[in-house]
Amino acid sequence: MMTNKQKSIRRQLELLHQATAARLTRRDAIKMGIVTSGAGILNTGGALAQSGDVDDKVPSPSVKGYEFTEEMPVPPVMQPVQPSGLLAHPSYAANPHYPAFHQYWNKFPAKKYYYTSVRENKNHNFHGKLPNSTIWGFDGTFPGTTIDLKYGEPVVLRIKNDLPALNDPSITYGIPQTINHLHNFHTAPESDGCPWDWANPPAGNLPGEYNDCHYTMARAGFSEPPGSHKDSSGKDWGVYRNGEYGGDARETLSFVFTHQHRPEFTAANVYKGQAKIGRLFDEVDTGNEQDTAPGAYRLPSGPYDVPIVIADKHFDAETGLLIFDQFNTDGFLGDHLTVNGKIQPFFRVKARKYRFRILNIGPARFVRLVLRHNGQNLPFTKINDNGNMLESPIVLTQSEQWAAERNEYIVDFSKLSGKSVYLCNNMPMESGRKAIREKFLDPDLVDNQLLKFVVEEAVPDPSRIPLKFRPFPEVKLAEVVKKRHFRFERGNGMWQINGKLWDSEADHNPKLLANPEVQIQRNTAELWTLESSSGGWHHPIHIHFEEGHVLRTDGKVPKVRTRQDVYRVGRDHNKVEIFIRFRDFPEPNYYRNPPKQRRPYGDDPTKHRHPNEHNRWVMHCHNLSHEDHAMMQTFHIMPKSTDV
Amino acid sequence: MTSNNAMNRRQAMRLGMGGGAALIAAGGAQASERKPRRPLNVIPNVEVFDQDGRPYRFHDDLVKNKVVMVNAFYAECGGACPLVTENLKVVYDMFDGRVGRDIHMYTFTLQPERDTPELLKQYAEVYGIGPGWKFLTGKPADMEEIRQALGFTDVDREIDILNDSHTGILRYGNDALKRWAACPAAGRPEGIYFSITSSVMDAGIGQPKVPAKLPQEPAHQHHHASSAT
Repeated sequence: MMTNKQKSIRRQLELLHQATAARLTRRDAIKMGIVTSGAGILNTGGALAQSGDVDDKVPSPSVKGYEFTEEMPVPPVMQPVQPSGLLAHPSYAANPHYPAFHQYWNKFPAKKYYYTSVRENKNHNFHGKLPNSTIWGFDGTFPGTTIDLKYGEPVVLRIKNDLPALNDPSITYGIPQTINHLHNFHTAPESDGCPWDWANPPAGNLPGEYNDCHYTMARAGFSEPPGSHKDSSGKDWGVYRNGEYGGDARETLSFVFTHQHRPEFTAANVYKGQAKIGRLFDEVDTGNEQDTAPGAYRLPSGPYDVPIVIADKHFDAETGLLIFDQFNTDGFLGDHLTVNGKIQPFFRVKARKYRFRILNIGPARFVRLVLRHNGQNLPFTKINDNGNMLESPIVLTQSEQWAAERNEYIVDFSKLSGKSVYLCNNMPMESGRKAIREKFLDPDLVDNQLLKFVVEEAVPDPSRIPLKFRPFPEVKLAEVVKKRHFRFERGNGMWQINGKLWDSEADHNPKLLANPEVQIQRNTAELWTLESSSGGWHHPIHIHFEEGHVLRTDGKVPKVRTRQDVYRVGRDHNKVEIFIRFRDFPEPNYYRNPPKQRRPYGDDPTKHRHPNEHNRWVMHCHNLSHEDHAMMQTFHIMPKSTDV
Repeated sequence: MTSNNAMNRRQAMRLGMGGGAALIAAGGAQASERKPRRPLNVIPNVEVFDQDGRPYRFHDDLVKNKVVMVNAFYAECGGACPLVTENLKVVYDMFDGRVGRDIHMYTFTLQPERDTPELLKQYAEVYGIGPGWKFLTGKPADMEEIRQALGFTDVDREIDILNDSHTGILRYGNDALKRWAACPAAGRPEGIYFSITSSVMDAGIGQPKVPAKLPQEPAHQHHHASSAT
């Protein structure tokens, strides 16, 4: 617990920070001639700045006066297909699953099978007072059902495309082809959901195509020799299970999400609803707040572990229907930040601690979240950054989340029984180009309130917030075998990386596949510099497959060490240097003898032939409009000839 | 349409030069003004002229119910445009006679006050442009409307007013299916062909794939397009 003195210092710092920001924005505004009146800078009581100078930039919502009348839905948890997995599923006979297609199947055979189909739902209701809108979601829902996964229990997830036909004229935006990425598990390309090998929807008598994704549920490093994952004190973080080495426990992730990755249509397809959260549990983060086993985290669990998807949506001012701008290359901003598929819902909570897993799915908007109660920021505890548990929890009063960033927070409502708390966004954004991080929106303005927590009675709270989680894997610069520099630039209205233009055909082109541009040696570490020279843009750069460590941003060492898969690049983050390891995949024997067929349909015999289709992933901007406009880079991991 | 009419149009275009300048000045003022949001996904139906001086309504005659690819250029452009035109010529050849029938190619000018149909014709002849690929000009205000609506824009006004900021985009779409996307105009021709045929025609709309007529020598592997700045 914080002492009163600590609280007082924190409060003073917060006020100073906010006042400074207010003065700066006001001075800027006067300089720019936007503000001429002498309106007060601070509210009485020292709450956030009035921000009169930025009120003008609040997007005018197409729907008003509908606040907090509807309950926030919590996506249900997906159930495995029982009793014998996909084998018993009616679709199986016609659509067998090919275990041989998965790398490391023999080492990590699936213990559970899941099935979902991507479907159109013409009756998604974003608010009771709005007409129903059409979405494309997992099982026709947005957000899709949450998938709970556990380390040590490998699974196969079949994702079937049951969307309308490719030439269905009723489609108003998006393309009904699906390929879904598990962001950001340590996954082989055939299961990762990279921007190729998408599944087509049903056509005439042909059923919809599908992708079978095998998730090993092993930690990165499982192909390295046991004993290689010791920390400086000599403690071995290696995981051993049933005689198999399961990798480095410090590589554990707890929060992932599945989203659409069809190139050039990713923004539209994700916006239309293809996103779902995955919760990952392990030996100590067991999902049981009453766990008495030694070392168990006992974080809030069950109904107190709540996935939340924040999604920026735009509604037509006349029809009230969900609409999308297909001609925007900067990043489409909506006029409502929806929460779990609802506009400004409320959520009943008990007066106790909660674990919130919050994903900002974008497609382009960044947020800075605050919890507001009685005109003041309520402190909360951040335990996880980008899916990775921090080394130790930190207490915050605001938290920035760029597009695709996902964090976990513990919020303690125990002293607020009978009160209301609001989740608000205080960061202005005028376009997909950048967030205006130096300015603050008035979080108490109803337009900036996203979710109202209605705090009910107190209930017993056996949950805890541990003082420490696992340490991060050590950065060992001696392991670095290669340095690479990636420059993200804008040229003639399109995005380039190192002056080059990405396209998805290159990744099918036998000539180009034979000599991939970025070749990384398997089981080595590299130093990557991500540099933006595009002046004034913000790019959340996502690297598939591995988590990395930011060493320096613009030459400065980060104040809080994090492990992540989305790196903030661009304005205020012009040059980001990261340490990243590339391990395990491809499975060497599989790489040398890849299977010829993966599924019973549409398998062009010329496809899946080149070994370099089985060891490639991508890095891209997660402002999905930038991604769709070629801000992408393919990289290959090459096994050594001696690898077995 | 008579040549007399075309002349009048061209005169009108020349008169429009002042309009172009006014547009830039207005851009400065817009920083502090709330600009009404343009209607989303609406293709303007303004009048445009091709390199032969023939008039068209942009949406009704050139886009409606068609598969199209659209890029922006200006004849004076010494940077990306010649490269892009050559590159798209390779794509044109890959479609092997289908341009003008199954897909339509439009290159509209960012400098309508200068790029008359005659000039466009000369330009098209220099590059050996065949039928089905139209170079378009019109009144500056109309061309500006096309530019804005099709997203050949930059949110930074100082960059937006530079023509070079928009010459690298290739917009493509299937109007009947209301399906639009974009890819780099200077990208590999095979990549552009794949992007279009996998989404707005052929395989992309559930029709049989038509193999591309591949160039003998891959014309471009990776272009180093010049930067806008």
